[in-house]
Amino acid sequence: MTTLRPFRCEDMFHFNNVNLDPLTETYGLSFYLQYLAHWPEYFQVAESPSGIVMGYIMGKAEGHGENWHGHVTALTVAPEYRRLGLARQLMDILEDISEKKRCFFVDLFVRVSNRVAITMYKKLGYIVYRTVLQYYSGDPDEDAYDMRKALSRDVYAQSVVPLTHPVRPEDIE
Amino acid sequence: MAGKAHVDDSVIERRLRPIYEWLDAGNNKKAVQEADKVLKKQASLPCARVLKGLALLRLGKRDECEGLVAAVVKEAPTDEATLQALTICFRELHQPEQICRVYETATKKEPGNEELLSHLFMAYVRVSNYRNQHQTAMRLFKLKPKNPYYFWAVMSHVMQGVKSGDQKGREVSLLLAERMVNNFVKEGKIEAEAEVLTYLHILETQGKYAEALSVVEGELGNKVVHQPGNFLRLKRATYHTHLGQWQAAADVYRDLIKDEHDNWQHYVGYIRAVMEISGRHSPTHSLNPPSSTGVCSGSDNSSIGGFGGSDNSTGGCGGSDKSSVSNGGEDSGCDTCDKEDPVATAAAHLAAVRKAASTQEYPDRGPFLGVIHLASTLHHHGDHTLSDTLCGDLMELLLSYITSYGDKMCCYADITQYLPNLPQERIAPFLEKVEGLVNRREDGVPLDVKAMYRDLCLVQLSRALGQHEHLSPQEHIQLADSLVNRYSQTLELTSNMADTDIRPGDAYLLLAAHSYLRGAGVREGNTTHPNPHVLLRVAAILERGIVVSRANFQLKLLLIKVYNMLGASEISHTVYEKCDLKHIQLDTLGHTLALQALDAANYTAAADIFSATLKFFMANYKDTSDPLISSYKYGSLTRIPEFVEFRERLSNSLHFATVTAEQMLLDITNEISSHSQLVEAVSQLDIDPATDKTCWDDLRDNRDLRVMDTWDPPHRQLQEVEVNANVSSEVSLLKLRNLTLRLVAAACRLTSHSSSNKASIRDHQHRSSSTKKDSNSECVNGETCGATDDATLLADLTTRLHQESQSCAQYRASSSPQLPLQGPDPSRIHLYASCNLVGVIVRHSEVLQQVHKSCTQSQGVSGEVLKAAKGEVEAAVAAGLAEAQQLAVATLVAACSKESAAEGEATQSETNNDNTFDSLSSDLSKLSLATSSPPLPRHGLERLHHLAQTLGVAAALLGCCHSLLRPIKASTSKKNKKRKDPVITPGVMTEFSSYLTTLSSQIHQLKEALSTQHKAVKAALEQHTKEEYTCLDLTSPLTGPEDAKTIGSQMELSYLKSLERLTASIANKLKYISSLRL
Repeated sequence: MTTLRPFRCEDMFHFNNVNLDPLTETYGLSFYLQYLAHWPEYFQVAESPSGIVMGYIMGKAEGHGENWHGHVTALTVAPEYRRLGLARQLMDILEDISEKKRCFFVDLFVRVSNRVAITMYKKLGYIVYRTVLQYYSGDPDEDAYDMRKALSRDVYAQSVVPLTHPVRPEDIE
Repeated sequence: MAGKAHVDDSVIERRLRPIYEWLDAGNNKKAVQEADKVLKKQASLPCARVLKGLALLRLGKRDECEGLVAAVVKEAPTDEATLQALTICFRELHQPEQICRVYETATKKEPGNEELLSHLFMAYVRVSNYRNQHQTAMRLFKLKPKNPYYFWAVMSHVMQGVKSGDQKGREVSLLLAERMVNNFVKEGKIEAEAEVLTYLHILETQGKYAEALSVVEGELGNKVVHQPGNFLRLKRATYHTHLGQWQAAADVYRDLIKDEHDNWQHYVGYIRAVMEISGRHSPTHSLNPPSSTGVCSGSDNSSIGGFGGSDNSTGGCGGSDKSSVSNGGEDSGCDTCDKEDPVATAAAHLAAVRKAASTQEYPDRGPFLGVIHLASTLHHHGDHTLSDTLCGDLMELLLSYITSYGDKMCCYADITQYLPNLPQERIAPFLEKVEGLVNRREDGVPLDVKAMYRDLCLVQLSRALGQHEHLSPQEHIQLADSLVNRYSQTLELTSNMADTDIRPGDAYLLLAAHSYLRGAGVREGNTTHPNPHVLLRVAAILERGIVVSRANFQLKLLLIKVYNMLGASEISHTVYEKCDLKHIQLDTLGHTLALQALDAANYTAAADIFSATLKFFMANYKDTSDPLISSYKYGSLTRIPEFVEFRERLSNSLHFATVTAEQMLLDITNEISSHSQLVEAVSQLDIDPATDKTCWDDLRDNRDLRVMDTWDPPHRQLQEVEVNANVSSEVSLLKLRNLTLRLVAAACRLTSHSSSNKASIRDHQHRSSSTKKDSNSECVNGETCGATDDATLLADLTTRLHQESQSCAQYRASSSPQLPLQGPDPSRIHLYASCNLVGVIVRHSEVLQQVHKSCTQSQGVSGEVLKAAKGEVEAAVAAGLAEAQQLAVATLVAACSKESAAEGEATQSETNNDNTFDSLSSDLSKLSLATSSPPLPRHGLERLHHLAQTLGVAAALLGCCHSLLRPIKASTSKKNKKRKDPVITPGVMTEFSSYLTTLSSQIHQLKEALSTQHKAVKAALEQHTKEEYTCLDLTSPLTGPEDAKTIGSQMELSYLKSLERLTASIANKLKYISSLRL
């Protein structure tokens, strides 16, 4: 039970209860603003009845030809609102908008160690399309799964045939 | 010709590429070399010269860069590469206006160049020149009739309106924008979704909801294709609401609920509409029902519809109220009077939705809470019986909700706003039933994780419903102990959780910590002496919690607060760093630790935090400009007002202004030990003594005061009035700070040998090009001194500072209120004002004025002035000396020792004659917790820090006196020459010197006292370390001797460092003042 609405700049003044979680990165202003300027409909926030930011999703649409797809840039839910299906609701919006934009698929990157997220995405119909080596820098670097879900425009689900070999970050389109 | 140019282009591009590459790689030296190489071949190549300038700028050679760039600008370049390079240069020079000039010239040369014109448009966007934006967009549209250009012009009108100072101008601009779109609509030229959204935005901003409604319901609505599925319906519902067409609004919301039964805004809108139809008008415009608390629940500007918050403030409300009066009657009129009460229909509908939802495998919460919301709203309107009839008993509803969702972490937060509607007499039975839902082992410990959540929900509800309000301090402590116990007992239930998850049991620790702090007297009108032993114990427990639940920021934020209370800012800083605050969080959470570190003399940590904070604010302008340009490019035009508002809110941040001032004060006081250093430091700073550019009325409090969990009943939570009082006290302090800084700058200017006029022009230029404050927003309420010359200016500022400090008298009398834990730390001005330190500054400025007069107008210096200054500073230093001697840093651990606790038990009745503590002492002293609470070192450290800074300012002013007197002394000592020199009574020289001698010896004593304390803490630290802090008892079910060792040593180390830095700072003042002997 939540209010889903477009993210607004002023939400940044009180998204701390989401962003203080160590797994959620706080970016520079221009990062959020560029998303709001470029793909405003892809940036949605979930708000509790008392006006608390429960979570949000940021995304974009990009790619050419059959690679035209929706991309999940960030999806995060505050600790106390996890396991309530909030991420699913936010993903639904992103997929719905991607359908409307006639995208072929939706994709996202996730740390291979993030079992909880991977399991959730699988439940939502995503498959591991490929592994991207050392995608996340850190000590040590960590691989990412590039997960995908085909949309209705990709009638034969060609976008979700998994690659057999891992790729390097510089090889991602 | 064209062909040749083309060939040249590719060659040039190849030559320039390495320069770009070096610049991108951050190797500016190489970039300069590479540019020189290119310029050797082609000396006049403008782009290479600009790029060289850019590299030089990045190497800190601003003047050289400006020279190169100015020469190129004169040549009026029109090629893309050079213009882009110039744009980057001017951006980094913080001269965005220059970008406009460059493109203006270029477009004059090539008026038909679409590319150049569009760059010119963007240049105007950068500086918010809406009028020129509009003209340029129209030129573009005439050149190439593309829709986006037309809408750039439309949006420029909108911005001109929104930002217009007067109502008339606003209306006219918005109307012009609307007309422009109307024309396009009539001609059938509207193409894109963005254009429709812009149209809606313009109508909304003007409160024209009927027109907006017909847009979404008409042809144009079909063009909205990329928005979330509910977008158009939500718009319709919002417009109906604004128009007071409640039935229509209710219908749309009802449909929305049918399709999205977990989307909360639909329920809020639906129930409000239904209440209005039935004639139960909401008293305020608030859309959140019986909201219980002050600032912490409900965002004040959460809007009902899908559109941005700024819409609400920019005109929605006024218009909607009016129309709700005129239209409301029609809709809700006769067709309802002989029918069933619409509320009954709604209740039936919501019940049906709930029933349908209950068949889900994992039922969503929305439908269940929807019924509670309706019931609660009815109760709020006094319709208790109707509520019971239609929705069922509120208590039963809540119980059934808890039955279903009590095993979720969010249960309490879901229902907290409805608790005030529960009648007093139902509270006990209610809680009893909630207790019945908890599955417990025989010993009372929850059986599993789900039972834990239920148990926590019970404790939280009990607290919120006031069940802990009447506990004695001792009972608070006991309750806290039992909660810590519960935490330990349930820890194993969650042992398999991931590192990244927070443990459900952490809430036990938070609840316990709140209880301990309550028991310890924090917030019971007892700000100076919360029992340090309890604070240490809470710290130990929270530290343990963090080890287990590394991701739990609630534990960390509370822990920072506890260490702040102790004045142990080294450790606060360690925990602060674990929170990894970045970017905007440095503003919104800057209140957790920044100024506290400064006041506790932790200058290194303070400087770190200040530097990151200022860097963030300085980048704000650039960070928000580029997205603004993108909004035009990508057609997200409706975001533009929002971005501008956001940028202004940040640049008007009170925290920004405060940190800026404190950093400057730190720069001119902390490490300065000679007058030449001071003069240098002041010249480095951007202080205009004549003008304070702060827009006082526009300052914004951007702190996030909702982030910390609390379960207190509404009246105990942070109230808006408390926050407002806190803000105004911070503003008062900022005024004192800014005046002090300007005073020092004015004093330096008065005594500087260089022409003061020149300095002021340079200051002015520097200031106007600075991006610290939004250079575009005209400062209407900043103030300027009318002073004509430096001496008058100094006199004026002195008077102002005096007056300002008089108006702070209210703070002097009272100590700073300790706000609820989720609130900010106590405001700083109370302590500062109570030390009478402003008087010291004022008196010394008066001395300087007299000395200046005597030098210029052959007047003698009145001994009275010097005497007054002496009296003031002597009192301040004496107070500081006493403070330093009493500083309880070395004895704190001993005071929290087991022996001391036992002692307390023996002497409980006579422990404390402090009235505020009397009521507690009888209970608390039975525990090993409260003995005679030693004063916390924090206040002592803060006072000493303020004193040190004030002495720094006094030294600066005396330094200025010195630089006036020294040449005269020199000339008089040359005897009988030039009798025309201003006559200074030799007495003045002697008095001045003797004054300095007295002052030095006093400060010396202060320094000695600090050194003594320093040695004592060092000895205590060594002694305690040897004994492994066995004397410190922090035993609890969770903590033991290990924790005492860690926390005790960290705390003493923190004090040791604070003292070290204070001593060093005082030593600098001593050196400075000693160097001023004539």
